[in-house]
Amino acid sequence: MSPRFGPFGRTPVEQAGIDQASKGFEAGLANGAANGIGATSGASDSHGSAIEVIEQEHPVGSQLHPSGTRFDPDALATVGDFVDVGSGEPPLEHFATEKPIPLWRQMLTVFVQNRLAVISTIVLVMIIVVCFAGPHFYHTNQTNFLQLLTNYCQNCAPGAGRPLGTDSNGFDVLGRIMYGGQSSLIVGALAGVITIFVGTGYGMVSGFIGGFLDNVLMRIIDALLSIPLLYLLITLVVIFHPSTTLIILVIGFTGWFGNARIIRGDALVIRELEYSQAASSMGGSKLHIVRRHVFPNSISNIVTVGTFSVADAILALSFLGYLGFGVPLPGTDWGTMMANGQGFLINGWWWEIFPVAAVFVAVIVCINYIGDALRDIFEVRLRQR
Amino acid sequence: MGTYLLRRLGAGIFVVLFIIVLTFSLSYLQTPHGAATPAWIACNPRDTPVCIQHYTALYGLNQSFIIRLYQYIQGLVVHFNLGYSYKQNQAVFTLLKIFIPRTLWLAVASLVLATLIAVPMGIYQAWRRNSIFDYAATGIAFILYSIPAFVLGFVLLDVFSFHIPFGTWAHLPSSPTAGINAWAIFTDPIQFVLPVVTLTALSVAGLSRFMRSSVLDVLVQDYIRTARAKGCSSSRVLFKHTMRNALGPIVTIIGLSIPALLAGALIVENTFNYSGIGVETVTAALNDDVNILLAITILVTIATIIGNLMADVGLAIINPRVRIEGAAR
Repeated sequence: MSPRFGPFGRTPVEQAGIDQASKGFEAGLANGAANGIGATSGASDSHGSAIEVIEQEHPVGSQLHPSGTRFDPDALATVGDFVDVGSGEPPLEHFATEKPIPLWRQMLTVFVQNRLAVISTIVLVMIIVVCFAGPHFYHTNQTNFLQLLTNYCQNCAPGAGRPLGTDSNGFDVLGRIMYGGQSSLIVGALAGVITIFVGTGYGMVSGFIGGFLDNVLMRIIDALLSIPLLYLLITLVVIFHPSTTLIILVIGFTGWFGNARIIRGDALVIRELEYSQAASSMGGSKLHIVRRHVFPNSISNIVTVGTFSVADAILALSFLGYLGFGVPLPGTDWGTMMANGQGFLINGWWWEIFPVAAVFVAVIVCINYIGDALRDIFEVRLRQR
Repeated sequence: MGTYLLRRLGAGIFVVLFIIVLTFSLSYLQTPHGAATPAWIACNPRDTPVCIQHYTALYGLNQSFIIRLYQYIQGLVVHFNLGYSYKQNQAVFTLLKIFIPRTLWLAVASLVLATLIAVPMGIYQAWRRNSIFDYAATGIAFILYSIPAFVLGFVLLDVFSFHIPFGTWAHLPSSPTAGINAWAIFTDPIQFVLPVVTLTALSVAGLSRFMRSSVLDVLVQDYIRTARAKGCSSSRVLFKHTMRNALGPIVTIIGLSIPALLAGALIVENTFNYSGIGVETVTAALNDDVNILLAITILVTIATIIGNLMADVGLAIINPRVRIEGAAR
């Protein structure tokens, strides 16, 4: 799940390719079945492919909606479905008179169909709200060591007034999860954003300009990708002795290599497509083509890869924290908390480690599910028109 | 085939040189936090100006960046000298040589086990797609895929060491200085069980997913339909037609997974206090011993590149198209 940090790297290019291939297979089967039953053979196929070509040219722009009002979120449309043989009205009239469903609603529909992603979103939002709003309602001392000494309670079991007990310093664990969650989530989000921006910029330049520059830039990425990143991260942390801000920068600027390669692949393909060439032949500047064609058409990969990048950044921070290089005291992050709790596992003091581990794993799982669903919402084929 | 491998080898050497220059340049940037320069670290705690001057001159720290970089590369390439630990006053290689095989055993054992489990599992999942086994395996793989190595380590530690202590089973390797043996996997395999199981479980999660997807990709190909139409038996379709084609991508994926495997080893070693390169990395990092960290980063990169090369060779053996294209280019 995490490209270079986990035991097994996610390589979204391969995964996306494989997913698409298998989806294509399933859709093909479904399409064939629909043709057989609905006796719309021939016509539906040709319409399907024609529409798909048009769609590809304007995935973020205006859409064609031959049967726009028939909106049934429970039925998953295949390409052949919209050729409405029985209704009697020619599809073109629908197109001319009826208001199309807005793009964001089509995307939302696809997203909502993925129940796991909806549940994940709810859980993730709840965790974020609890982490950031919780401390305003559940007051605990998370910074003052002196105050801890006055009401001495270290490694206390869960009980009245402390639902999840206290840790080895005497900090309340539930409050600590919120407090550590703030830094984990902020670092993860900001570092993730950095990886998206740097990766997108680098990939766009490499893929769009192409040629010799592309070759050089990609060989550099190859080299960078063969460094096991966790080792590089630790070296950087030791060299720079980072504050929290620097940790964000370090994680952000070491996490974008894979992203750049994916975005570059997109840019390379899109710049060769007909509409890019048409824009070029009509005198569009290179900047214009990148801004209006290449970038909007690779947005699906940027968003998907970006989502996974946030999960990876949260993981990277937890690994650093676990190894003792996380946010320093009195601040904390989830990795540091788990590292502190591990020593007391043998005493049976589960509350110091398993609650935070559960929240942490929940966040990672949720982000991964949401990322999968986001990949789907850009999949034109899954949309109901 | 020869040309192809030579080209790959050349690219690998280029990458190693690139990494050496990059990591060394970064270490040159080491910020003087409380004057934590290498000479200060060597003198600490008696960091008199005389001492600092002495060590600065001794290690040539006052020379220009280019000269130091040249000397570092020369030492590395010609004498296989990985540098000198100012903190521990020893050559880095002397410090590391006992730990390298230990991490290697851990990584190789996990990779082999993971492959042996994941490949048949993925094939069976794809072959019996949407069966109960497929769903169960997918669910388990997704959970394992999402949890970080140390969390799985905690759970295994808690269950198998503290709650169900099977005699010697509970004895985790003691302190890293107490007679670490590079060949412990043969003399004392019990200490390898939990680290290897953890690392294997995490690798299986990703590998089996890829194997399943890869087999699914092959199963929709025309030649599979043709083979079936000809009247090939199921097992013949599976072993002769599907597997040979589905294994190709997996060999590449295994090669690509090596950096992640080594990063996983770093975490797992620290979770189980299994003294190897990973524990040594953290110790060196806590001591500000940048030269050890540089050496480890370079070694790990070389291991990755060798792994990728081996994967390329394996792919060329399995897939004739790679051989021919590689030679033609």
